[in-house]
Amino acid sequence: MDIQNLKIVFDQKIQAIQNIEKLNELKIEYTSKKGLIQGLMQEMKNLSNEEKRSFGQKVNEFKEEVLKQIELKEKLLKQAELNHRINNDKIDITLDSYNFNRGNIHPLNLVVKEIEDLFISMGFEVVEGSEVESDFYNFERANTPLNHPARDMQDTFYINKELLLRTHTTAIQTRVLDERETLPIKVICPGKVYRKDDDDATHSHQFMQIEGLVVGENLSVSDLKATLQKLADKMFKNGREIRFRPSYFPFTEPSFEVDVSCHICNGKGCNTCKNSGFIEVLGSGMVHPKVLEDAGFDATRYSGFAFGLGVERIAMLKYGIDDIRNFYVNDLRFNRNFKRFE
Amino acid sequence: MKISYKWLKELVDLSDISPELLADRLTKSGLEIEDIKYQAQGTNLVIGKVISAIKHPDSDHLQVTKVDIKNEILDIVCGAKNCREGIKVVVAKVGAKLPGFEIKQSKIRGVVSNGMLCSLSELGVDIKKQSEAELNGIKIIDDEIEIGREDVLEILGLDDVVLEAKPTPNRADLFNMKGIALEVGAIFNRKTFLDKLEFLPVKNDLDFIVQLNSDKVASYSALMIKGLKVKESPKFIKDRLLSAGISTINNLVDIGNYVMLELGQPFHIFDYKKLNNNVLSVETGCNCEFEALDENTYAILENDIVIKNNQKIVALAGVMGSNDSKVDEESSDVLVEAAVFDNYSVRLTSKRLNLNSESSLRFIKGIDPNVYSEAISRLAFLMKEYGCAKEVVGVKTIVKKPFKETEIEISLNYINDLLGTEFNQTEILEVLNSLNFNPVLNGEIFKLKIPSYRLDIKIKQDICEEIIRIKGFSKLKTNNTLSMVTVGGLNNSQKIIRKTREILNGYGLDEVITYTLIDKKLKEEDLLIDPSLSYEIISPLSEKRRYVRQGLMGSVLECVSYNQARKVKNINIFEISSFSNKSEKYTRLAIYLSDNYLASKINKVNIKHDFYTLKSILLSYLKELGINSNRLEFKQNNKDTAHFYPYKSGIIYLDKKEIGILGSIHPTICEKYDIEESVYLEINLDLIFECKKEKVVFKPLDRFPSSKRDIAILVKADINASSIIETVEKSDKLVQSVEIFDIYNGIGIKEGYKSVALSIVFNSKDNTLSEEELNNAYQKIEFNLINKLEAEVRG
Ligand SMILES: [Zn+2]
Repeated sequence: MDIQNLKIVFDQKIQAIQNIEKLNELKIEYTSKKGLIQGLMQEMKNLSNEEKRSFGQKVNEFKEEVLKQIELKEKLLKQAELNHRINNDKIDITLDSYNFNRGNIHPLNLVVKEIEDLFISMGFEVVEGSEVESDFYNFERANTPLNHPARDMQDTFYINKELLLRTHTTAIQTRVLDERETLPIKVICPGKVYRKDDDDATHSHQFMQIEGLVVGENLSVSDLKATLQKLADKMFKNGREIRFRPSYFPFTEPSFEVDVSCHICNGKGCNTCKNSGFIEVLGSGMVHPKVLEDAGFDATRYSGFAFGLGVERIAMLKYGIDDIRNFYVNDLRFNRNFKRFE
Repeated sequence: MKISYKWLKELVDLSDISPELLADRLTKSGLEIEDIKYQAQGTNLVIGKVISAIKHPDSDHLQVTKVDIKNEILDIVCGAKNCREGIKVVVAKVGAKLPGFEIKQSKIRGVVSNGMLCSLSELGVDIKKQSEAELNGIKIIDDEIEIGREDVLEILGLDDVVLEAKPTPNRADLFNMKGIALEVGAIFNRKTFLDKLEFLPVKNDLDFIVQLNSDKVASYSALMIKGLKVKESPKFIKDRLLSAGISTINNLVDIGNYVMLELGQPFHIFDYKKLNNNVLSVETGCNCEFEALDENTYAILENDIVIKNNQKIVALAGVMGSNDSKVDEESSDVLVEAAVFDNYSVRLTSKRLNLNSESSLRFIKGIDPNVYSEAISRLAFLMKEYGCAKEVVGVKTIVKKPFKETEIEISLNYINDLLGTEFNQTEILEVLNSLNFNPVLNGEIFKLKIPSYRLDIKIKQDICEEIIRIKGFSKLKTNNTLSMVTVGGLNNSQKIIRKTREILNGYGLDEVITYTLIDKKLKEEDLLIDPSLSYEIISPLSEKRRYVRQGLMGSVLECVSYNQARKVKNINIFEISSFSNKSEKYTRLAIYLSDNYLASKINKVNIKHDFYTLKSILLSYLKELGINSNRLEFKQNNKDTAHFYPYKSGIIYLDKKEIGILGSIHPTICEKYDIEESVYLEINLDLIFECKKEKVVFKPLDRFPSSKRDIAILVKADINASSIIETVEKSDKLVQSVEIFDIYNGIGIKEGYKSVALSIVFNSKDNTLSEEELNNAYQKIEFNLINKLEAEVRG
């Protein structure tokens, strides 16, 4: 048997093969128990010992060569097949099929969260309190005299003589002052509040406030202003100028309205700020000594400051919303506009 | 409060202070000026005379005029119908600035025009203050006025500027011109001219009896004037009242209002001849009726303050006088009341009867308790001068509560510490003097006596506010840092609420916030709570806002209904809210799901939200909070089948305690809110805040391979999944997990039964399970299924 010839024939055959099935057939033809190579082994019986050795070596070499080539060919064919498959498996990547919608936090809670986080970073605790509150904590302890208009039935949702829906988050602060025995106090108090207003574009009988309270030693109006500067920079954008104007709130004395330079026009004047360059956003002041004394703190030794803002107003200013009712109608197309605070 | 700039100029030195500067500084110092209104505006104006007017060659409604303005004759084209030869007019010369535009030399249809003949509207005059003729043409000036005069706005009587001020509630002193003048004097450190006002001193010796039988009056003065003549008021009084927005009636009434505007003391004028005797008494009401001078009858209550004469009510204190004691055209002898009534009582009365006047407004704010004698002298002077009074007979003043001056002691250090400033003694002294606080320096201490018009100044802090607002807020530093070191943060429940929002957002759920106050219809959807526990508002705004809600379902479904009606897509929402009722405070979470959980038409996938997606969102949410599902139980809903399908809903238990309900909403409820059928969940979060959370501990991975066996059983249809799983799990400790992968009750299954296929995974942490161990465990399972659930094992 001329192994050299067999090699040539094998080379021709394997070269012609284009798929795995034919390759497997070839493998069986050459290497199975009844295959061609086994046949050669059978022939060896008739040879002399001398010849057996050299023939056997050649057959073995041939077998190795065949297996090696088959293995190589198999790799090539598989690769080709894979290439063929992946090159023909096509999709239109410009098509959108599924629509994964992440839900949205309510815009008011988004504003609350950002402000909370700022104050948490400055060491404040968050305290929430109850929306049904006593007249005592809502008014009396906030130094709102009995004859103050806010205490009329016409302006406040009373449940009975003692209970009402809180009219401001100051009610949370008066509770905190009453419950805490140690100073300093640094709290930020967000929550829903209620006033007897007919709902229209700028009024809502229910709205949200955030108030902050700091009580300790050596606190001054300048500390208050410095704190509010940070709040203004966070709420609108860095570099806000803040302006104090004297005002009147029973809870604080002195009391100040705080204007922040307009984030739209940077103080040059535009529609948002009614051409004044400033927007009124905060009420603030030094905690009234009577409030501190009522809560058991020595007002000659300790002082404090407080500030508050309307959450809806901040959101309306930031995003140019012109109707406060949007926040409570919950048209989801509205709610979904506010993915993140800026 | 409307402030006439022209009037104010007579009371305080305003030289070099424009209305704009005045408004700016007042606003920054605490008196907000909301608007500045010029009666008229214009520069480069002059009075001229039309010496000829001929039709424009190229237009039917224009005229070409020659106007003599004394030094030159201008050619001006005019379009007004009333323009004609011989009239005197207001000429805006080239370069004149009028509200909104500037006059330039121009060519109008080929004819040069060097200016404009003005109408009042072009000068910015309010159209409500113009006559029909003035509105329809140019303003024609009286013939006596000389041409060439440039003080045109003065000639027109339109040279005033009105500042609209909004004082804060504590600043009652800023509701009169004297108070404003003092404030301006302090802010600009300018002299006031209040000492130039003319008075007629009146003796407190009137033969008249005033009885104060109520503690709601501090003082009461009755001034008698005889021989008055009712007529029109002089021009300056009329102008000033009009600029303040007060209509003029006759000289008597107008003078009263004028002094009130000037000094802040309200008056009431009785016709003396209509009184029955020489006694007036101030009393606290009665339940009776009162005919007021507006000819309406009002019901008087016990808390109202009334003035009586001979048992008859002649005035409702601070609010209105009676019809039969009022002054009229014939009045000549009057009794003028100047009193100080309790502001709270006046407010309640005026609010209840809806009677608001300039007087009641001032009483409500609180009037200067000491100004009455000055005001009476001023009124007497003006009545004599402009009311032609023959005799100011005298006044009777009774003081029930004498005014006590507020005295405050304050140190420089206190001021600087509270404000965080570095003022020196001289600066502070200057401010205190400018405010008329009468400072006397005693060592380090300023001793102050606060004038009676500043009722708002009571304590040291008030003084600090005065100092910083007069010195200016720019003196405050903003580079301070709070030196108190504290650890801030959220508490446990606040953290859980934030996490809840994040997790549910991740499932595509949008958050809503709805109203706390609800109506009767929504209240019916307060789940799992005694409806009688809800709070009710005493006098609600409307029926829609009567009840304080105890649950979220009504509000959430109303929101869903709104969105569905507007074809909004993916209405899958949640709300978190805290609640209070007569027995407790709690927090709830509501979830509503209706739309697709996952959908793609192209990929032919459409997984609708249903009971099971809702349940698995709940389980996964709780697991993320550290609450494993094996601590939860879902039991047959036999508590609320009004809101849910009875057999497609369940009560949720956590650690054996009820936390809420979930299920498919009852069709009747869907119909009530006009919404599609959908699923809803409401749970109490308080138990979730409090309950134990699984600790994060490392559990070694299984060392030995697990084995899986399937089993199919036939059970009665009402045996539920959790009891089958529990039976299998409890059968042998080698059972690691059980999953139901098929339920079938179709052909081949007998009536009332179902076939359930389970996949059970066995595992041991000690060894690879032997066939014998597996068989043993499997047999125990079979035994329990047969004995406990009457199951038939099918293979
Ligand atoms: Zn702006």
